Amino acid sequence: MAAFFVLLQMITMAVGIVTFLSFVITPGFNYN
Amino acid sequence: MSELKLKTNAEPTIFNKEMVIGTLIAPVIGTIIGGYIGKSRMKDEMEHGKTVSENPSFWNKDTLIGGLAGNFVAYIGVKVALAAITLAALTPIPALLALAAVSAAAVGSIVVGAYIGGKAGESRLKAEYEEAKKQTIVEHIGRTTSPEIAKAVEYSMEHNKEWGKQVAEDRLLAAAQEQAR
Repeated sequence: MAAFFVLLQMITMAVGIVTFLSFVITPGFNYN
Repeated sequence: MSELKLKTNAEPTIFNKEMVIGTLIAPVIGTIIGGYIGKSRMKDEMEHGKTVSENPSFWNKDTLIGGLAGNFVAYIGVKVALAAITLAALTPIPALLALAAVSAAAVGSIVVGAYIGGKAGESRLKAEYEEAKKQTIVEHIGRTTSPEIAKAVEYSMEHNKEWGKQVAEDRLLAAAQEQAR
């Protein structure tokens, strides 16, 4: 179970990083 | 697309939006890095003004924050759901179905978070542009005409949403009267 939660945390972080990068590289993204 | 500079007097602090973004991606390390990036952005905005555009974009910083917040909510939700599935000791097929439902809800919360954040950011950008427009006009009048008139224009811009229409109408009327004479 603990391993499951660690895996989940890593997935969440990965999704966060992918979300961030996909926003930043999308043309038209207004950082302001 | 017209761009203006918005003067801001927000005191630079590490408690800013970049800190939120950093925290939502990687707590602690992200918090520190994000906090410092945001602080230098705020310093820059204080010195040079914030660039604001006439066309507010739905795809803005708040959309990103909303999406990341949705991802965090999903993380908590999936964690609770996993514990519940384990406790319920479901047989493999119902357990897989429950997992699929939870995953769909997780993706949904990212989308919903991004949508709410994006809409909020869009109206913030719009308000910032209006404020920058006011600052630019008032500053120009203060420089070219007189500080008193600039103050009066600022007052009417703040208290009368249709001030521009009124000014235009008054000018047209004055021009018409001038010609009639």
